Parts: sequence; structure tokens; C-alpha cells
Amino acid sequence: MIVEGILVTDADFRSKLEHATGILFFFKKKCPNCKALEKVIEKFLLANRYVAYMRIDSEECPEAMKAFGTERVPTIFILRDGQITAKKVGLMNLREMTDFCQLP
Amino acid sequence: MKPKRSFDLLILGGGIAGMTAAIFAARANIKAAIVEEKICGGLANWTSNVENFPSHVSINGMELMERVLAQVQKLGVEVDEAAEVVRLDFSGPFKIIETGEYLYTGKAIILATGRQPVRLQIETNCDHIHYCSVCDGSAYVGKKVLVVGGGNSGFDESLYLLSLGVAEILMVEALEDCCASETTQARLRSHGNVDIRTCTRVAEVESEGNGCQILLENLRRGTSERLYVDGVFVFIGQKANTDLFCKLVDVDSDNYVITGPNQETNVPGVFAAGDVVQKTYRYLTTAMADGTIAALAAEKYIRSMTKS
Repeated sequence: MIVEGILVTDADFRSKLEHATGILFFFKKKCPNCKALEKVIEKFLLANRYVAYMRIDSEECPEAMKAFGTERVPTIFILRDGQITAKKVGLMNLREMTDFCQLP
Repeated sequence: MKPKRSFDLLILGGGIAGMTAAIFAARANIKAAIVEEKICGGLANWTSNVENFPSHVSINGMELMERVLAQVQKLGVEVDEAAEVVRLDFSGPFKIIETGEYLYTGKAIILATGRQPVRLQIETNCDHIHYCSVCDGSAYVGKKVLVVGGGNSGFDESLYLLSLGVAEILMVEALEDCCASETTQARLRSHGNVDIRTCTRVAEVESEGNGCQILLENLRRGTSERLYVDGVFVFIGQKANTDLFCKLVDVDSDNYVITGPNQETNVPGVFAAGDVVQKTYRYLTTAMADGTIAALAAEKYIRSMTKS
């Protein structure tokens, strides 16, 4: 993984995400679709270096999963100043990811 | 204009066949690139426990594939994952793969795109139908799920769902018998909360509340039954992943690539390996054999092309 992002946990998701803007990615370590989407995000971020990227391991963070109302992975949220502006469950390719984020 | 990337050998698909081909190519000083739509590892990534791979009594499929990928990358093979292929051209002396980002060219190409899961052929608005227990299983802790398919995948994934804490599993198989290995079947059948029904097919799935109303048909007795389950997991086999090139090389009636003894297709310089090839047995080990032969045959082809 070239783009590590910020790993967020149950202990700090409230403080770290309170005013966050960027991509929030819920994943599992042994989930093939999560790994594939991680590669897509990596490519997306290489072309959009100013976008913040935050990751949450769903198996280790049940509280964060509950707070964001998601049970499935991979799930991506777009956050703007801590508010959810978009949510997508499942795999996307790079083109779909770019459309989803709708960044200038 | 997309950036151009030139190689001796292009490998389309990064499953075990493609990665094995890449290892043999790299060791023969053939400059090779793997172009993979998702991530390297293929269907093995979806297998919780691989128990028929020599050297490991039991190993997680994704872990095994990560080890192979590390070997591939250490040998200097270019690996482009999450690459959306938009065009293939095998007509000239140089084979072309155009992705969303690059234009790849190679003197030869190995098609190793494997297979993909067959979807449930039912029109439904229900969004509780899943194909990945690792991705979606956690949502069904303490609940009842229907597993469609009594092959090895169906049994393995059912065991995984139970390990997550799924309360009850109803499995249906359309054939007279489940075809999963005896040991895996015995492991699942030892659980008290599993109901396995053969000669049974899913006729309808409708959304209801937080789950699904399903209609099961017993093919032997001609009877049907409506049941409520919280979710449906489908593991009914795979189909050839050849949509991109089934009109460019010869394929059989099921769209599997027809190859000769050295994995060559009917198009010069185009080889195929692994599950995508027409054959009887599809395992990691048989795919590795295909990948080995395809790489060696491609090397010979590339060297002869360079000489002429």
C-alpha cells in the first residue's frame, strides 16, 4: 500500500472525524472486495493528492460501524466537515470512484 | 493520449495462473507485466482455507496469494491492479491492452482472466442477496440465512458464516446430491443449526421487512414452500471470464478458451492459462501448470519473433 491514510479506531473516531473532510473507508483485512477497492482508492488518491483518506478496520471497530450505521464492507463515506454527504457499499472501479467523489 | 507501456509479454489477469506465468517469464529475462482488473489472487482470495496446495496443510487463500504476489514483485514484474480494460487488440504483431490509464503493448500475451461467480438468475428487488460472506456475513450475526449451492464454496462459506455467529443456515442444492468434498460436508453437517435440502431450487426472492421472503421448489416432489430468511448467500459456481476477448480467440460453447498442448490459442502470440481454458479439472495446481507452460511457450514465441 503506497497510500496509508489515517487509521481511525473506536477510541478516536469521534474526535478524529468530528470536523473531517475526505474519504472514510470501512474495510476488513481478509475481504477481497475491500482489498480491490483499496487499490482503486490508492489510484484515485495518487491523482487527487489533496484529498484526505481515513480508514477503519470494521472488525476492530464495532462502535464506529454502529455510529455510521453500516454492517457491510467495503463501505465508503464522503465526509465534509464531519457530515456524511455520500455513502457507497460495494466495489467500484476507478471511473466509478471518480464519479462518486465528484471532485473538481 | 494515454502513456504507452511496452513489454515483451503481457499477462491479462493476476490469478495463480497469471502470477505463475509471470514468475517463469521473469526468470527467463522476459520483460512482463500483469494487468489485473481487481487484485491479484483471483478466486483463491475468496477461499478461507486452501487444503489441497502442496506445502501447506491448510492456508488462507488470500494469504497464499499475497505470498505469490510478493515473489512476482520481487522478480521485477510490473503489476497493475484495479486496471479497467477498455480495449484489446490481438490483430497485429504487437498485442495491445488499453486500460483506463495506459496503453500496454507486448510481443505476446497470456490470457489468464479466470472465472467469475454465477449470479442468481432471479429478478428481484431484494438487496439482501450476497456473493461474499467475508464482506457481508457480519450483518447476519444471530440471524437465519439461505445458502444457495451445495458445492465446496457453499459448504466452506456456510462454515465461515457459522463461525461469525450466524444462528441458522438453510442450504439448498438443485442437484440430487451435494458435490462438496466428504470432509467439508461432514464438518458442516455436524452443526445442529444447519438444514440441507437437495433437489431444491430457489424460485423467488422478494424483499420483506429487513429480510427476504423466498419460494423454494422441491424438484423431486413438485411441491413448493414459502419461507422467511434474513439474507441469501449465493455460491452456485463460476463462469468463464472471457467477455473481453471471446470474439478475438476461439472459445467453446461455454465461452472457455480453446488451447493446444502448449496453451496456444488460434491466434499467433496469444496464449491462455488457468480456469479460463477449456478443460476438465480446475484447481490452483492445474492453473499453475497452465501458467508455466504458457510462459515457456510465450518465451519461445517471443525469441523467435526477435530473431526474425
